[in-house]
Amino acid sequence: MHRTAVLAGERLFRRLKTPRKVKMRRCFCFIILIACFAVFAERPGGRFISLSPSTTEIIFAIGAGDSLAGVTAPADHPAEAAKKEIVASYDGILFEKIAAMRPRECLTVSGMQSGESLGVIRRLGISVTEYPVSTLEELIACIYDIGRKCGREAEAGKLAERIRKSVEKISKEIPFKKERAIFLVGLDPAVAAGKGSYLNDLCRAAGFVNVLEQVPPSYSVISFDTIAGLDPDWIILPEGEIGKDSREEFVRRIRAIDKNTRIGEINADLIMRPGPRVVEGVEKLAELRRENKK
Amino acid sequence: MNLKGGFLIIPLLLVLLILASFFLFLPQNIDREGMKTVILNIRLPEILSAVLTGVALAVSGLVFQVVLRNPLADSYVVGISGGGAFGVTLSLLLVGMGGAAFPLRALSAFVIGGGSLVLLMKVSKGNPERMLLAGVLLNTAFAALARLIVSFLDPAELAATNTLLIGFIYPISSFELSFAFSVILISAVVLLRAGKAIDILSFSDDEASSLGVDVAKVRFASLAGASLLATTAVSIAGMIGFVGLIVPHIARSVFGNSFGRLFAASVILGPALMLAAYVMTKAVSSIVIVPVGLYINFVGILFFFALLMKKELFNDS
Repeated sequence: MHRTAVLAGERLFRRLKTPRKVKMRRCFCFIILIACFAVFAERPGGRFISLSPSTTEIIFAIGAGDSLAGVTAPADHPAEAAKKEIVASYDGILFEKIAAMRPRECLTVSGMQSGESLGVIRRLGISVTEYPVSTLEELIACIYDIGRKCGREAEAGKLAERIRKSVEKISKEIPFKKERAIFLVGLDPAVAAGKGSYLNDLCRAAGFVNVLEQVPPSYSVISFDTIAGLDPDWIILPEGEIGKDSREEFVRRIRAIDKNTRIGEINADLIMRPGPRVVEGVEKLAELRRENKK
Repeated sequence: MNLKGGFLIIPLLLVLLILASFFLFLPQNIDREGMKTVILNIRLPEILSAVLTGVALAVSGLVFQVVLRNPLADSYVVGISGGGAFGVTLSLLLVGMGGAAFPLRALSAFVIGGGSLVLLMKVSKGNPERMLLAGVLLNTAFAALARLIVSFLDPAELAATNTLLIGFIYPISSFELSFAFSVILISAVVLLRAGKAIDILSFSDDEASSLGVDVAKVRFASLAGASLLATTAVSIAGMIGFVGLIVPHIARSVFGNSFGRLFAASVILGPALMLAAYVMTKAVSSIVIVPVGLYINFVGILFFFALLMKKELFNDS
């Protein structure tokens, strides 16, 4: 006992006698260590969960696909997204999968998941960011913020500016009078995009105006009579989403009423899903206008 | 199953189902912290929600069947749940689905469900058969109105509302839980205390009157209590049919016709049925989201087909 106390005393004495230079070196190492921790703690990273196909596309487009732990169905673009674990769909969220993944944050766009479901995730202690994306400017702000969260500010900035410039360029190239259009996302039954829908802003850039842009909700079932009564210049159908027979029947009925209404087809995801493919969507819409300019 | 066996086996079944609900079909590759979160923050509120819904629907169904003297009566059939669902969809249209919207959702369900009851009592003039028929019509009307409102909702709310209308268990907040618990407890205690009068009401109106029961008063009070239970269930878990129909039948086949015993049995069997369906949803929930109401509907339909084939349905009443 006595021997142990003596040894401890000697050790303490030696420590007190440590030269100042050594002490300074130790202090320097300690500060570097703390700084390293601070840098790592502040560095954006960790894993995210995307609760909408739009945020999935944006995250992959800025090269941050690796930071995704889970995605929402349909995870059809880009191809790598399909390899990620599905944790949600239009029907709801698999809360237990999300809790098991313990993500840093869940990202989604408004109108994809209900407030109730997002409230449950918040109650699990996981933060949720819901981006409003009913206009092009809101989409660009969303891309910037996702870039900041994923530590990919430069890539996000490039993507956002590319979208802004491309849409402006297309808009300048389409100086024709804006034509009235109805955008259908399905035919059995016919579902049309209305007020608050993201494409309202886009179609203006491409020389169209959505006839239903002031009619809530953002997507609603619409009858054939209503479509005929609105007398649009264009009816835009979702490419690849409807059967050949349904399409032919619909076109036949429209032609029987009004031979002047033009019918175009475009991949609905390009214009309905706010994301990096927006330029492609506006370009396709603009092509329709260029081919049929008045 | 004899009475003694029933008293032992049914609570044991409930305990097993609770354990299964907590620990079966947990996500794969889950760590200790994740498991704690899943069990305490998801499964526990979901199980409590299922238990409360089961109690509310089973007791409500029992009261409707006894008071209306009809083995096919329950809040779902007579349109009270339909009225509640219409109230819920109306509140969704007005304020959306956020957590703060719950009191309005519950209030709308109570007001419209309660209004339906008053309307039914007026239309039927106290006649149980008329009340049942009027209730079926009312249910159809409310279903149509709810569909009309749903068509005005945005996609996110639309999908959630469709699921809710089928019947869905989700991790409800502590506020929703305590609110539902208080309403269900108060209603259940009131109904239990009025048990003797309700029991007498299961005879004819004349017999009940001759035994000193104020038929109109007891009928309205007990149906109001049952409606409150049903609309609470609708506001926390949506439209779940068949629990209120099946449970009193099973309870009657084991425990006889005494209201007190049937009440006790319903309080255990209702949650047991809900939890069995809940476990089934967990078994497939890693692939798709299946509303619990779908399983209950399957079980209910099979159960009633079996009963009809045995021709016991109307002998039991």
